Amino acid sequence: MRRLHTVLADGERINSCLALAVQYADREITTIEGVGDADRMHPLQAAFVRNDGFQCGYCTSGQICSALGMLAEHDAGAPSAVTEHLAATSIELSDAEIRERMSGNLCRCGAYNGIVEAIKEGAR
Amino acid sequence: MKAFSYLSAPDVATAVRAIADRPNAKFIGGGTNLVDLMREEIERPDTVIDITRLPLTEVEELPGGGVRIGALVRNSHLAANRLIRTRYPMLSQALLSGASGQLRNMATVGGNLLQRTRCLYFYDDAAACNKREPGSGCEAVGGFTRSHAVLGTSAACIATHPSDMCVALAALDATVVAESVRGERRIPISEFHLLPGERPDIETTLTADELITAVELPDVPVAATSRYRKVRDRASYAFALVSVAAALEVTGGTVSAVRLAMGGVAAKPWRAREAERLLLGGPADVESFRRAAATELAPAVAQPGNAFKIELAQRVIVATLAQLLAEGSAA
Repeated sequence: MRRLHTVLADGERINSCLALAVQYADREITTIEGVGDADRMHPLQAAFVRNDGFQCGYCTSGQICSALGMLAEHDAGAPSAVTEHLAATSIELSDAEIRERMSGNLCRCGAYNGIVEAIKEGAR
Repeated sequence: MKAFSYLSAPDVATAVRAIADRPNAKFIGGGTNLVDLMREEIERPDTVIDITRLPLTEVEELPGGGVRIGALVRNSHLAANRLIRTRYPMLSQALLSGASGQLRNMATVGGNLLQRTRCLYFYDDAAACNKREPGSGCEAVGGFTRSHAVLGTSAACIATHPSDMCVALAALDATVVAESVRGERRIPISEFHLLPGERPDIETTLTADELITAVELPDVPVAATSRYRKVRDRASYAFALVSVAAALEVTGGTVSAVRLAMGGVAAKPWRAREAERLLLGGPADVESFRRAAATELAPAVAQPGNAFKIELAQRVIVATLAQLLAEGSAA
């Protein structure tokens, strides 16, 4: 089983396991280590702690990097597969929108409810 | 993974010259399918030619109302494009229903066209597969076939084409533009992907030395009222069991324009021409939708594991057309 880890390339979320490093030589890569650490947590990391957005922690770095990329996509007005009105210029970040937009990150512990709450809090 | 050499092409002329000079080379774009297949050693190129720095990232309006999409436009960027969202919503929805946010940020339009099947037996190098190893047989027949094809199959292969985007492109009569050292070639989407026949390893009419540079969409007014509906085993991040791209225009209770294509049912995006022919000029009602869907699926041949697709495909066609009809009457 290969680890599908999410990182940010120039702020866009990608799967590092499918990326040849040489193709990204001129892009800025951010991993979870660049998001924050125990002493200076990113607000989204703090929101994951407060909302029990994880259990074993295996998927957490990917969930947080993915959520950061996802929130930037949403801010830029990108629609999703569950967006009712595709032409809308402003799309409310409902639970259904968060779940669809985060569907590329699996959590085998099933911390999804906490993850959605953490992202909602982190988005504010 | 087999060792390979890498080079990056700065422009189209260099890219097509590089591939013409190398017998076992592959272009690499987003890499979302090729890198996976290289890890599995199903694809074993000696050289990968990186095309991600080529200037093919624009979405432009064409004179006459169409749109030209550069081959390196990322799936996520195309889905979010205003022109596509308003004039070809089925294409935006198809793109957004494929893969995940991360993969859509990597995957290119050209690469999406060249995706390979996710047939489990194609991926399992211990299994016989005529697509991977021509002449070795097909273990999917008589095997686990939930994801497999019911239309256009052959004794040699029952794999499906995995793309959502291509289903919308088929409904929209897109044109694939390709470049090689011999010049430019324009390929209608209906002639791009091939049914398996005796040679399921040959999947498209693109030659090994051709580079996809763009996809062009003609002006399709009916596409402004269109939808893509995807049915799968979970709500998101899964390949289609059956999908339908549909566009419908109704004038005075009669179908005045219609486009219909299906995914998850064949080795190519399946344009439902027979259904379209029956629908056009007829009454816009559920009974007519049912008859058209039944006619389109009449030639279907199922395995025990995918027989449900024949009924499911008809229901998804009817439901999608009925939804467009209801939305049209409400407007």
